[in-house]
Amino acid sequence: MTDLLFGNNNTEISKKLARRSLKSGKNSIAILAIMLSALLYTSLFTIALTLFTSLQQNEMRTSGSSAHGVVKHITADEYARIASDDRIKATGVSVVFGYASGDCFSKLPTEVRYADENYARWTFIFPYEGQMPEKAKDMAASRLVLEAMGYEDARIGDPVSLTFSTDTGEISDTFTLSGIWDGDQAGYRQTILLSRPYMEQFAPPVSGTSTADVSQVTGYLDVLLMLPSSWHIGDTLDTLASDYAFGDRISVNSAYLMEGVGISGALSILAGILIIFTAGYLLIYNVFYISIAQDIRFYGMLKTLGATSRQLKKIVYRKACRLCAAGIPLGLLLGWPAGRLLVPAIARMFSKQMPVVTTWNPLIFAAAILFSVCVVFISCRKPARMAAKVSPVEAVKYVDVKMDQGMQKKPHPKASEKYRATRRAKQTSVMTERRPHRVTPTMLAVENLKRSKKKVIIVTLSFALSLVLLNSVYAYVTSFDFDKFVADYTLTDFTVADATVINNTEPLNTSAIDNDFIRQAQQLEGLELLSNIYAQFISLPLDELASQRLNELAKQSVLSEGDAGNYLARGACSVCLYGLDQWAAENVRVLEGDLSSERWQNGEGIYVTPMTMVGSGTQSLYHPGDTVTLNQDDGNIKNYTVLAIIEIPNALRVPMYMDMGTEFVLSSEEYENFFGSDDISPMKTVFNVDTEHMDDVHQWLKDYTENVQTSLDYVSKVTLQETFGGLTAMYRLVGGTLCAILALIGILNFINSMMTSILSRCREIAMLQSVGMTGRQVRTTLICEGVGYAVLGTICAVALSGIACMTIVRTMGNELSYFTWRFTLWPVALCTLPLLAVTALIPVICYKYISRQTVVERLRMAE
Amino acid sequence: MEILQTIQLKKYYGQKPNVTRALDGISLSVSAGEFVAIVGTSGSGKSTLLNMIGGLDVPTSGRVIVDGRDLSKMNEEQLTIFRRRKIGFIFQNYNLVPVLNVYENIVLPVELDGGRPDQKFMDQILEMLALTDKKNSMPGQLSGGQQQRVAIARALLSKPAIILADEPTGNLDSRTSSDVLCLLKATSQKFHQTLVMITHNDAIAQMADRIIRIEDGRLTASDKDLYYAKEGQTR
Repeated sequence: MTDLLFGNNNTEISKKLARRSLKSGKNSIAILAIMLSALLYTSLFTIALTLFTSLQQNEMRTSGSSAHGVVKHITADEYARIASDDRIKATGVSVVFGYASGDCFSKLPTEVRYADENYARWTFIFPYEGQMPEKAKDMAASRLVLEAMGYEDARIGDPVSLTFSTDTGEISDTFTLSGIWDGDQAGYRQTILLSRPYMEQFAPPVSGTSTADVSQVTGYLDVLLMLPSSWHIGDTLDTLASDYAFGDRISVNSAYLMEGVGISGALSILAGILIIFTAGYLLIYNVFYISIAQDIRFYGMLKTLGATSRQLKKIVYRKACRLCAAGIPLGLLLGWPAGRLLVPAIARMFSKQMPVVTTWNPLIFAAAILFSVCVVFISCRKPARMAAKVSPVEAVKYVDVKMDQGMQKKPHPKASEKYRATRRAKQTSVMTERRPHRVTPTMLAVENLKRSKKKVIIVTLSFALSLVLLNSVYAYVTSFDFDKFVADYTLTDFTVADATVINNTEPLNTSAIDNDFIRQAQQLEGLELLSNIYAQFISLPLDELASQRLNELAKQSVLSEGDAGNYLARGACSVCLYGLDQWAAENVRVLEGDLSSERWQNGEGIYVTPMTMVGSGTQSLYHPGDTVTLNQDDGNIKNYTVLAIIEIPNALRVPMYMDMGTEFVLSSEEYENFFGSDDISPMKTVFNVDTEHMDDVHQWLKDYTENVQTSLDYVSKVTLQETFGGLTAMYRLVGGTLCAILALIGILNFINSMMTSILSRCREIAMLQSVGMTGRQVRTTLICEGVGYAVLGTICAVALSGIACMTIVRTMGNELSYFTWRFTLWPVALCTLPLLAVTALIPVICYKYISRQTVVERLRMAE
Repeated sequence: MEILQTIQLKKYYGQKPNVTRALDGISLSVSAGEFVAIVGTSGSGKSTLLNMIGGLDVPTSGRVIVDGRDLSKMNEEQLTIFRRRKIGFIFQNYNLVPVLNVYENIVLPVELDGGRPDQKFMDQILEMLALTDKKNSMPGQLSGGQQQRVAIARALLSKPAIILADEPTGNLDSRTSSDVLCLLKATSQKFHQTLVMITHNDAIAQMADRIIRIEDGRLTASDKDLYYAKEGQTR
């Protein structure tokens, strides 16, 4: 006998029932729905994780190591102490000899070091051919370095002559090549490895305590640190720094620092996740709800036969499990390639050369499975409750319209009488009396839509969701402003400068353009404008006025006390001094004062920019009328009157700020006077040509920078147009794919609702026909119903899209410098037609399907 | 005056050799204003006969003539329109549209036809069937008897040539049944309506002017005699 108190073993039968009810029902839509959701999640996580891994690896390549942190320039004694620290899991050690010298290294700065295996592996310089240097005269180097040295086909065992400088002098020796690796151009320096015995002989590790003085390098240790986990790297290293007094010689690998995701960035990610989660929920919920509603008689029957509510719930959940088992793997299988295909387009946004790393990280699949299962079970909760609550008697005469009442919760036994009364009033209002309307197909359609409001809301929302997203993506992309985008890089058709300036890599060469180039450029056909921008970093002695201002700023805590003290102690700060010609000067923005071009041209006056790096970046150290004193190279002092506070367009600027970010602008003539005309070359040369010669000049410039003067690089509107096109294409592709999936979900939702609604009313429709409704009238009614969803969806979409466009799109766009917000509802408007077509077509197809049976057959159908 | 006539009506289902003869040559006629009960056991073919008469089903052979029009000569669309104008249906399970209120359900066939209900007639019907207070109620709020009275009102309103009732009291308890039947009979008499009712209950059939028995798709002998006798009279 089964024990009522302790339950009985009914797992077998409920399993069997779930299995059989699966077999009986049509589950393709449910499986499709689950698959779609899983696909959505998998592809999204694939994109996110692939992108993250790629960015991190790229960052590691440029920062040169995969370790969590690095301590530079310490002594052997200090290393011994830190290596035994519990907070550190592993270390990689290297001892510096000095720098490789010779012409071949001028474009390829190369350090000479001894390194242990950890260090070599973590800095990507472990030889893949041969081995680490072991014998005294062994040496390992990258192909890149070997080629630069003239050893194109170097092999293991070949002799290599190398000259390098140490603190004490130059050493020239011939080594035996013991190991080779490829080398990476992206690294900021190259490395040649020598053996331990050689190190002990020529660069014995320094002992004692290190200081912040980094002018001596030979014999000092660079140590890579691996911590037990990648959490709190910054904090751990900070405490290490203060414990061992390493100061800023200890640093975190920037690859492990989360790039500052702004609040709006985080919000948009959150919103994105919420949207896809909701989309999945809407679809699966609707599918399950309908499936349970259709099988309600089956559940009622089971209850009549003695199944408890819990058992019924169990059956529903088991059914869900089985559907998951079918749908989720499919979604995972299709989602990963889908995501992976989209990544390169997105990656291009971050960096042109960033290689995309293929990752099979199990986290992707785990998260996707978790999300899918969650969404399925959350979606199942209500339908399961509905199945569990079914009353056997009601189930038999169950029609769609009763659903809303059947689902009403019973008031809590302790609910107040007042609450019960209002509930009763509400419940009866579902079936309350209604003034008669004239009966027409349209009116019937409206009443039919009203009978299952929940279903209508879900379908409407799922239509609206995809439309809103589509509209938002479109609005976002069309608000990209090419002119603004270009303005960040160039004001003119072409900008030429040293590669370091164009690509913003240190150290910048701000006087790279020689007269030869300028002469050739001046002879270009179709040249309309040519302007040279001069710039150089100089030291500004802080006079009394400046010191006073700094103190004030420190008091207002705009500037930190430490920084202010630092500048005052130095008595100087670095500033950038520009020389602009008339055309460039016309392009600056005046913030305070006026340009007084004449006084500026004749060298009497100077323009100053605000302190970009201090506080909000709007305060200026000087104001119009102040006098600035600058030291010339030859020791002379020159005074200038501040005429205006200005802002220099990015396209004309040096790509970096020094110290407080203050910059001075002189006229080109005065700039020449200041430095003495002989040794100055422009930082940038910018020029315009007429449209006819645009492509020719672009070609010439490309050729010139690739073959004639390779240190130069350029920005042109032609290439920017391509970059811009790529950028918008990326958003269109990703947004479009997401929209397509959401639209598919919306339409599936609709088909599912409409089909079940028509099939479940098959008898009712036959009855209407028996009392005189013609086939055409039935079709009209059903089309009106379908189109009703489209109309509601469109109204909802217009309202939500409008709001989204004005809020989210605008906020997200304002993060971009090249964004001009434009309001649009075009995509919604354009989608209305296909939406109407689909919603009109599906009911007609469904009706055609049911009308294969005659009216009498349908009337006879057992309810 | 004959309002309904069936001539050698046959309905066969299935294929040889397993042909089911639901109707096997039924000829009968009903005069205007007559109340006829068709009685038979379950599966005897009485529902099939009623569906043929109402133009819901198409006979294998034979003809149905209602109000002088041959149903076999009409296409589906024409049949539907003819039905809503000339035939009133009352079903065992009421067949009311759940989303329409009582009034709308009653005027449904008239309004589907693009017409306007005769307000005076409507009021009369509602009063006779005691539905005046329930005019704005939804079907879900009514009892079975009330729902069937709504169905009767719906059948009456378009002043059809015949009212066809298929076990109209099948879902009702005996007391409500007799109430509904009395009302049905009274109203059809008052409005001079022809009524053809199917039932398997002899007691109910006794209320009719004439009883037609059907068995295995054929009229039983006595009724055939009656038919021919009547035919003889009219000849």
